[in-house]
Amino acid sequence: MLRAAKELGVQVVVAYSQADENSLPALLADESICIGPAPAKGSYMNIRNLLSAAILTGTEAVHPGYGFLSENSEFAQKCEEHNLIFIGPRPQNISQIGDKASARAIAVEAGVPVTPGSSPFSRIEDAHDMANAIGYPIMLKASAGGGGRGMRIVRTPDQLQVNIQNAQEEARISFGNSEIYMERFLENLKHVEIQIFGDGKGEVLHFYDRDCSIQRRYQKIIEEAPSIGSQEVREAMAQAAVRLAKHIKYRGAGTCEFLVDGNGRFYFSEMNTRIQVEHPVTEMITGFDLVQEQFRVAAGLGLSISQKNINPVGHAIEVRINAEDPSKSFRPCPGKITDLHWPGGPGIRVDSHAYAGYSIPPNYDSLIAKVIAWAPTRGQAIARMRRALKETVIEGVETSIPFHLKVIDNEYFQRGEINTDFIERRMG
Amino acid sequence: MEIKDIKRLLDAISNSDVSEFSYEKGDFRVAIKRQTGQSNYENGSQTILSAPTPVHEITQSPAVRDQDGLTSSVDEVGVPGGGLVNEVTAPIVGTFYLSPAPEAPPYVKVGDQVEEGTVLCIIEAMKLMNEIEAESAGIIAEIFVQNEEPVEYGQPLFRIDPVH
Repeated sequence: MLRAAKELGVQVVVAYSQADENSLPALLADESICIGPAPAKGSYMNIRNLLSAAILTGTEAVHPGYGFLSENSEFAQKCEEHNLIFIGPRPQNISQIGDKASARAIAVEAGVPVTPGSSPFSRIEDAHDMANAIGYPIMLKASAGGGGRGMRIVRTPDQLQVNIQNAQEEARISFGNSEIYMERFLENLKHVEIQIFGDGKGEVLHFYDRDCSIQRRYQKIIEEAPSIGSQEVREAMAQAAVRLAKHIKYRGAGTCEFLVDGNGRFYFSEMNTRIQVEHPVTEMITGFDLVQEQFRVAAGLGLSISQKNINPVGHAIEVRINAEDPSKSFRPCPGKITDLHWPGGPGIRVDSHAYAGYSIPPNYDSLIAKVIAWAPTRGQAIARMRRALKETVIEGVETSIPFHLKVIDNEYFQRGEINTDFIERRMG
Repeated sequence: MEIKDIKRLLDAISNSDVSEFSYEKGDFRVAIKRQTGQSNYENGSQTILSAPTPVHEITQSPAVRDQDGLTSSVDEVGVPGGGLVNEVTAPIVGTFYLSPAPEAPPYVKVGDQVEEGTVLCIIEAMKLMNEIEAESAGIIAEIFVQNEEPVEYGQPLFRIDPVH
């Protein structure tokens, strides 16, 4: 966000927690202000401190990034009430779609296929009836959820109650809202998502698709664009996503996630009302800066491109490099990065806040960098990514790089046979 | 007052129309404020952190900082880490005021002796005035910020030296 703003000539104030005083964005910003202690609840989730800081620094617009308050309609609403432009959807869009259960209902209204599922429930007795009606296996999902949290698979009725309790608790801790709904759990599927962008007045563009099937515990590890599949199915999904977004006059960047089965049937899963971690792969194949567009649309300048000028070229792959130890069940291992060297060369992009000497705080995500490789074909992109990962030096912490290399060297990955169960099934 | 007395007090208040109550005797002090279904935003400070020091939060109608009609309640706002041992640091982001009102004398000056709970200053955030109190007795050795200066979380405000 900082880079996009600077290129547009916009000054940046970074609000940081005490853990992030020496983070790269805080150091690069025109101004920075400490808004709370390391635990996110007191800082990055602290609406009062954030608004106070914005007003005190003369801020005009707020970019919430991803995670934390980025899909919090109350925060978006409060920004507007205090004459701060919220760079993202309107508060109503967030509450309509950000609530995963109500999003399903809207999808149905917009003629978008959805997985068989339920509305949110609170009583265990109701849960059993709903699960039997949908048919096992079912997936429990948090209404306020995202990032794979508050989700559980339940295969038999005797496992239902304890999984509901676990999911509710995880949702309460992660999102402050324990509401749960359920869907039929479809297996051996691809997770394909469509990047859309609306002007808030009824016009919506799509920037094609991404395949995010490579996941561990519902957290994406590797993403690519475009997805591998029939042109027809991909086009139909893009049109469905645009229909959904137009239905609610969506404003800003958003992503519609679909599950696609082996027969080319797709089902709407959820929509994320924010810019996503994996947006760089879309930017690489379209040559378009989505984050700059967020600033432009928020400033009232309207969409700067038309659908016919969005033409994907080549193939892009992104790996999420986490500070975690693959030999210890990928346990996060924060610590100090003592040496750091990023890959370079044609078709390589690195988005990271890390630098040599940087201490990774233990309070947040273990993601330390995104490395993206673009090339004219998927095979070349894989080769380029392998080259780039081998060139990367990160010392002082364990990282997931060795694991990523195993994934991209895997024969099923290379053939494009990737489903959401890839890691369990193909990586042994 | 023992725990069972406090529990009875809480029950009595929940079952009544009383929304705020405070009681002080010697160095025992309790203040209770009922949540009235305000949004998380308004009560945000109550869920932030555990706190060794209570901070009085004075809620008032928007705009002017005016002493009349203030109701006070005890909210737990965390004391930020990172400052030196006898530094008082800002527990929230806001504007620092050394006096209760523009024409009034400052709460404290350098050299003043303060007790635990003495109000040192106000930090105003989003039209809410928050009184910041001393955590322990001592003498005001230094005041690091000026009246009406914006302060960030954790910013040092005062140094209080222990009484010899």
